[in-house]
Amino acid sequence: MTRRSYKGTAAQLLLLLLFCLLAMATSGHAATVEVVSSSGFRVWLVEDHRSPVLTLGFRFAGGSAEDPIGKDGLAQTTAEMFFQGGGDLGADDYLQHWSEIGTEINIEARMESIRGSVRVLTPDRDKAMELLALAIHAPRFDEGSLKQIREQIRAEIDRDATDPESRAYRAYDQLAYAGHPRARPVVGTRSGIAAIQAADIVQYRRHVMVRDRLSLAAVGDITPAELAGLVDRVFAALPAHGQTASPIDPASTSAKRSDLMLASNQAEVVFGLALPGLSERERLAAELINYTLGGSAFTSRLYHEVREKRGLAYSIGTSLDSYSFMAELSGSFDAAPATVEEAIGLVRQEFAALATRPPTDAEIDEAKAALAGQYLRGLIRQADMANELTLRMSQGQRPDVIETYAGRLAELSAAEVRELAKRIPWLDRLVVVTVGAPASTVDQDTKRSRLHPPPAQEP
Amino acid sequence: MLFRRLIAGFLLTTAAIVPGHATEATASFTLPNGLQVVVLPDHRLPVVTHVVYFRAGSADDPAGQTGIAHFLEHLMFKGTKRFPTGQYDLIVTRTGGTNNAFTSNDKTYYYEQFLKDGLGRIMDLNADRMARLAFAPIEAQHELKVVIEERRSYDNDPESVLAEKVGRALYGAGPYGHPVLGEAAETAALTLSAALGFHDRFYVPGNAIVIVAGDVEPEAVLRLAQSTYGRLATGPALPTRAWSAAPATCANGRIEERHERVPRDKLSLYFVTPGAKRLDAKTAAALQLLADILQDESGSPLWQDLVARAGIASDVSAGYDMRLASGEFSIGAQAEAGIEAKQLEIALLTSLNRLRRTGVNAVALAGAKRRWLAGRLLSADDQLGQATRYGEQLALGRTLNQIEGEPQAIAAVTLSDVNAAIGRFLGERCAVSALLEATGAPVGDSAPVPTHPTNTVH
Repeated sequence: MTRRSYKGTAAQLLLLLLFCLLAMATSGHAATVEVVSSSGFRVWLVEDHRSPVLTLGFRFAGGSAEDPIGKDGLAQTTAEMFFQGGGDLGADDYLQHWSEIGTEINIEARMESIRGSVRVLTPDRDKAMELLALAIHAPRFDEGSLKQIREQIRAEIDRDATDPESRAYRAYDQLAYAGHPRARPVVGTRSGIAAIQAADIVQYRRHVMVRDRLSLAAVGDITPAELAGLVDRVFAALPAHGQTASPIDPASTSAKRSDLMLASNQAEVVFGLALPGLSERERLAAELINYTLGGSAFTSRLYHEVREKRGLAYSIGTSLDSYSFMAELSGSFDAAPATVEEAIGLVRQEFAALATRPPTDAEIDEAKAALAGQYLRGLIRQADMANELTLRMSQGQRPDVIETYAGRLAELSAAEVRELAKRIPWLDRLVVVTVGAPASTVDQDTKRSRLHPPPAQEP
Repeated sequence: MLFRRLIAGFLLTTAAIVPGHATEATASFTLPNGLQVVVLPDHRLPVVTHVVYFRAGSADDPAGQTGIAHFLEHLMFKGTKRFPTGQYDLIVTRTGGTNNAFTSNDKTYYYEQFLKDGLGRIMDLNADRMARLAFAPIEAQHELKVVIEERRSYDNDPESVLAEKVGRALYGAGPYGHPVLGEAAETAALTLSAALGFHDRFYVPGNAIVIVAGDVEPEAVLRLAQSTYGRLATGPALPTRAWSAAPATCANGRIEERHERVPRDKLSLYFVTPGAKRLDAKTAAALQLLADILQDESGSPLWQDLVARAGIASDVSAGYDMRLASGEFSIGAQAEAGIEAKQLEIALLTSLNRLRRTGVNAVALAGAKRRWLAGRLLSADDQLGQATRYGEQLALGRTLNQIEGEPQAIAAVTLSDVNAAIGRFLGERCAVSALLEATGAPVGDSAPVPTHPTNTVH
């Protein structure tokens, strides 16, 4: 690769921008199509020539869940090292090349994947893909870069350790999932990071960054034929197979409670439970239940009981996370130490009520409308859409997964949502962690006397 | 095409039709009551973003009632006669939507993002709360507590406290001198009737701009706008906002804020420029590019001096914020561990002195232009960002033509424009240095000091 000067490019870009404004003619929503390259790569493509920008998303199945014991943080380190040079370019030169063209590059490790995206202006596409290809097939593991990345990750681990909310989530993970990969932090541990050497990353890449673990999606200004050629150029050198990933065991949780002391005048509470063994359809039903319980910012049952009626917390919310081995419903809030037990009691009460008073037709209708919107709003940015598509491809779904979402949601009956809500033994599985001043130091009388003023009057 | 049809069909009923480039998809029309509507079609997904800007912000707070613009923003979610308390959130939720609102010095905006079929309902909700609010007074009392709590959380944050002091030092008793949330004593005494008075005066159709971005056709938006916003009375005479036409005032100063929760020292320099009413678009473009040059790792002389050579800073940032009455150019430097803000101040002022003599070079300017133009293209997929970009500029008094001609304005900036801007605005007049200082042992990295100290959000 040769260095290229960018003189005059601003003028070219200006012309491009004007052209793009002209080309913003309206058309129907683009559908996702599957493109197969001549060397056999499948890519899902949402063609969109409205703006001269291409987003290419790639996802390797295999994240922190496959970190070797004692090397916690290997997936994270591998991801961070990904854009640290390639071929004969060290990190500084390599990143300088990226910065000379119109691009946004991203990569992150997650529990079950390493996923990245490259966004690039059409005139710079070839150069960007050359750079990406270097990172894929001629990576570098310079000791200087690795040292810097280790320090960066260590700083993140230290920051998390001083943040009450992160601490509460860490404590929750360990209490709920001890012994399961779900309990291990994606970012790694101090000792794990310190132990990671270049050879570990080489080996990890050989296992995980291989063709049969790769999913690809493209959104934006490219034709199917161009895309097929592009992925062949960038990814062709990948080995076909690595280590076969053994499926992660299903996780389950059982009712547990833990309180951590921390000098603070607020108590941070994290709660949640595992939902293993749900079908795709049941996961969607669980999304609706989650929305009714705590997913909706201003209309959920928990918001109503804890914030609106009693003012015990400024905000309270839950979310549903999906993994290959389970779904998980979890939530958090912070409250004054004096009222934290009352708030936890209300959370338990609302979980129990899911069985006795499952979501009503009106609640389910509201949840369906809200989720349909939330899903599509979450796909507006090209990179988010590419991430969604690579995830679904890796799950063996069909390319029309985005177009069919609203239909799948609509087709769920209220009865089956309620049946699921009644079937799950919520309280038997609920794990609760508090971090902060212990509630037990506050006697009952004090608690009662402080119930009534709204939180704004708490010190 | 589309545009001509719009013009042909509605010229008689609309006061003005402002085309962008004739061939662009952007459409704009003004209803007879004065409300301007801009449509930014984006058909990738069946999603629409609706934003209302009011030309009203904390600079319009009447004397003794600082914080009222922001308090009203909170009250706008509390209900109307047709949509009583709680209905707004429920209806937005049922359109698959989300919402939020932000108050700043010059303007306040409200947005919803939702599934396209909801547009009529969303416009109805917004038109209705623009006409008149109606809810139990207890709701206002409760919301005031929320606002006071919001203010208290800023008082707890050393960076916010410093930013507030910088605002006072720069603008004194001027329109930007008080915090958006209000002076503590005045905020606590705000009343519902004062907020409603502010609403009557500023929340009128002629003082509002509606931007609809997303999966919509301009004709359909026009029809819906006519049947919702179109029913609103023109209202009283538009507020004059005399403060916005006065020349920018400024002061020199040096502020220090020490706190144990500051992990590492930070230095910021603030320079006041004329506001949007007095500064031509070309100079404003030069200042934007200058800010980008000064924070670019490879091209910034300040970065070279403080980070690369002296190794006393870990980061150098710069920004330019254009407002009506004055603009604000800021430069920040984050200290390395063990380095004091005072040392950064000496080094930065020395480096800046050299910059005044040498100026920036053509390579750095070309890089900044390239980044600006690439950034514009790469951000085209952010629907809310597009809508607010138009809204911010329109609220500043820019025309659609100016907004859409911004790329050409950026491309036309010359090296001498940028270097002239350094001489004219980054001098020793109208400058305040702000030192954020640690008293205890560093505990970690801190967030950067806000570039816009007097702009505050919902």
